[in-house]
Amino acid sequence: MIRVVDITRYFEVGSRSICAVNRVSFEVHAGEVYGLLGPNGAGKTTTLRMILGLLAPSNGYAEVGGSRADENPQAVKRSLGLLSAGTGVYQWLTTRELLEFFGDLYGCDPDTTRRRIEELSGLFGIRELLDRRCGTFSTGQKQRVSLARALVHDPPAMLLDEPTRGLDIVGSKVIFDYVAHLRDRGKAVIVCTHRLDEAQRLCDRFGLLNHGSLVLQGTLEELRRETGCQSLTEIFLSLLAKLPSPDEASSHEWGSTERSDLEDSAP
Amino acid sequence: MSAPPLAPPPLPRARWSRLARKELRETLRDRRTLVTLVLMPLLVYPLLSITFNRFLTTMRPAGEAMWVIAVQPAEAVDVVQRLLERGDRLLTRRETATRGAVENVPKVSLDATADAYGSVKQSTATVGIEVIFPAGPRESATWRIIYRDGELASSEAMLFVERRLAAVNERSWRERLVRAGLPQRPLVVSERSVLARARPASLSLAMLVPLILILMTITGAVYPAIDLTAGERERGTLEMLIASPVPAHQLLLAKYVAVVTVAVLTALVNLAAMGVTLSLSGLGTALFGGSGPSPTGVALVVALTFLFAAFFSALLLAITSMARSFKEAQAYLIPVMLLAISPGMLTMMPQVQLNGWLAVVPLVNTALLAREALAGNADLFWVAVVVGTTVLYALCALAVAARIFGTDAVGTVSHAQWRDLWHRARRTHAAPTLSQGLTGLALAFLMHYLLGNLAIVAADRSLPRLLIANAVVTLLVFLGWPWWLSRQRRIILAPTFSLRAPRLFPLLGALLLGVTLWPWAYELFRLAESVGLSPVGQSTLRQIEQLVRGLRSVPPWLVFAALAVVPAVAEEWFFRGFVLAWLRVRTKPAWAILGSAAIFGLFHVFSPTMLAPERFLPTFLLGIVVGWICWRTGSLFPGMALHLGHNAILPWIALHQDRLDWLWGARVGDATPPIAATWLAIAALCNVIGIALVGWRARPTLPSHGDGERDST
Repeated sequence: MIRVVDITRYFEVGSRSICAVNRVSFEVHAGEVYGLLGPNGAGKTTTLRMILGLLAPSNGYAEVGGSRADENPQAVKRSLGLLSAGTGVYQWLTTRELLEFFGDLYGCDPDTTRRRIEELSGLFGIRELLDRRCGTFSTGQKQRVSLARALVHDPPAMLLDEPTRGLDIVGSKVIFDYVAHLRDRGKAVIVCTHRLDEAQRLCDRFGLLNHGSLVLQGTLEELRRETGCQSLTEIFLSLLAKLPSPDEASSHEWGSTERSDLEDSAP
Repeated sequence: MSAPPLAPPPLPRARWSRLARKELRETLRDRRTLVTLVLMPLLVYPLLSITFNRFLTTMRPAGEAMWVIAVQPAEAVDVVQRLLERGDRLLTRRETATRGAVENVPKVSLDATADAYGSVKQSTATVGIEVIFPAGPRESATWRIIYRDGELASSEAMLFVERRLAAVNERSWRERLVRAGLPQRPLVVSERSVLARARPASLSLAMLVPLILILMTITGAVYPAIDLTAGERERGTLEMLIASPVPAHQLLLAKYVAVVTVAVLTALVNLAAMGVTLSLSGLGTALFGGSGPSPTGVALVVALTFLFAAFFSALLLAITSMARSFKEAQAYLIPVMLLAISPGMLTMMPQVQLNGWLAVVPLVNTALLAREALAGNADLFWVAVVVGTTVLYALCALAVAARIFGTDAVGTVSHAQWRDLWHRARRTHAAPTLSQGLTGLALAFLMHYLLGNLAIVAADRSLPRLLIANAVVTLLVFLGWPWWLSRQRRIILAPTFSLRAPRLFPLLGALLLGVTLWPWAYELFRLAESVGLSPVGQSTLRQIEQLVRGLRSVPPWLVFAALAVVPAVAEEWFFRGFVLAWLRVRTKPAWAILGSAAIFGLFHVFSPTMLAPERFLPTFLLGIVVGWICWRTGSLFPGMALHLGHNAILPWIALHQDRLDWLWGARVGDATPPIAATWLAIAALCNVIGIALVGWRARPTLPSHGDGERDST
């Protein structure tokens, strides 16, 4: 469903050129949840943005449902639902208006959108928020509205970037339960998260990013065999201990950086 | 090799309309929008009206005669004095009876004159009264009140006289009716303005109206423009929008409609509030004359408000789309808003007229046309010019905004620092990056202005020294600066500056074009002059004549080097090298050539000592030709040859014009003489040969769209 091939992205920071994502390749099939894990600035968000076509790769490409973002961006965007780390909602719109608006953007007819709103509002417990303005919501409420927004067009694939940021345990559970539900419905899901315990329980396969490179990937069993560690947290920490520090990495011409949200131009 | 992206299908109109409605709904629900839309106008105009009234009151010197009334003929002074006093008494009685208050009557002095019209016209009198005594006892006397329409004091004085004479007339009419047998209208009063259809010679407060409208339209547009672009980016909703399968330019268009709507609504609310305030406070008559602004004028001002809002909203969106936060967008907009206010200030200068190049200067043209419309002087031709150019500018601004809106280069954070300018980059570039290009342009403009003025001071009125100093500045700014910047940022010189050895024929062809293109520029100038589009003022012409006279005493080699060689080399290095390469990797060749030509033209408009808008068109056209040659040949040198030929031939012609009678056709009156048809035909033939030589076996290899993104280490 989602295929990432040798995707690479350079940024320029002042006089330095930095490789935020370096030749990353992986595949996510329908009905599979892929955990893209890594410390801050590892390149997770940049990878997701390139898959969606929001950022042009310097090299390589990403395919969603057979369409490439650089060739047919609208088809790729239509096939994906994005939940980003920020809980951006339109503060002057009600939840219903927001969901109807995004349904419209994705080309859903009004009846389908209304049906989806009913379904999703029940699922995420936001029915009582439907006719309230989003600006008055708590972080958790906004995150649930955002998830409903990402799902309103019922996409075959989902990109979830830190979906539980700012949520309490109950809120996080709702999200992870729904991700499992998505898998059961045959959706391809990529989850970027720091919650390694939840990721271990939820994801079918994992990709560990560090300094822009995919240093390890596979199922939990494969990772255990590779590292000799049991839990995902132990695997992750042991890997980080073995890898060069950012300073050492930057001694290379295309060293990665801690920040991946950098401009590609500088004076 | 990837296939080209598929063109997105157009959004159905109904969906696009819903998209625009959502943007509008969100904006109008925001209380901050409502403050600028409703609250501000409701408060501002009454406050302004109070301030104006106060201003007008304090303008009157205490104890002095306020108005001078010129009376013609001299023997009518006593009659006028008597009738005005009587009218005053009648009015006082009436005012006291009806309103309980007496009008604040200013002091009046009557001056006998043989020419009341002339006295008013020359401003020696505030208002004039011309009395034509009746030929017989049964006829009425005719009183003609002469005043300056549009001037506050004169209009007020006219009303002062008119009301008193009307009161006398009415009283007399009643008395005579009672007695019967006498004419029913003893006095025939009419008005005559010395300024009918003429422009006011002095500052009128009515000229403030365009400025106020500009300010209010800006106020209405700024907040939604920032909020719907940089604000959305800051709140994280823009990414969701861009992630949807609707093309970014359609999203932008919906936002544009919302911004224009709010701007227009704000302007209309302001107009309405202004209208109500003016009519209630009585300022309307004082500002616009007895009859107030004409309905056509008001309608035109409303239409111009739409036009202004359409352009300014597009401009704002282009700028705010670049910003990553509300605060950053505000920082970008402050200089733009200050610049936008200056056209409004221009409208307050009566000597600044809507004609020539001012009719195509954005914002200035709209503001001046609004002023003319209010004065009832709008000319259809200039209306068409202003509307046409403003629509064009709005479309250009919108196209720029569409290119910027939602791009990944903007959705991220810049970490560039000033010190980066001094450090050499590690990575090389085949062409300047976006910010390198902007830095190059901005600092070149600044240096050109500052060093250019410094050169004038250093030359100390000596023409040879001025030529040398200007040549040094040109070399420093257009050759040295882009070279240094390219070295620091590791921009590879050969592809950026098209440093490829030229072939002989294209080089010769370009040189031939250089020496034979000027007749067309000259004829274009004549054409523009004949339709009033090229107001090269007398002072500019005098400066040119003075320069040509001065050049006769300068060694020819210095003239050639300073006016031809140096500009040809340095300007081509910058405009067709640095700037064209910067644009070329971002857009199609045609747009890059047009863009570099426009920048080339603008640099010539803003010369260090003066603003010369008439230089834009010829330099823009020259820039297109040279840009095309650079692209066609893949080399900078043929363009330099053309520029050299062009810059060398012009001073040569100027210096030898007295020996070039054979070149000119028949002169008609005082008009600039045309070039003889034979020579035009020869020039055309040479142009064709030149173009053929340039195009022959061409090999365009300039950096192309997308090259700048590649790693070139």
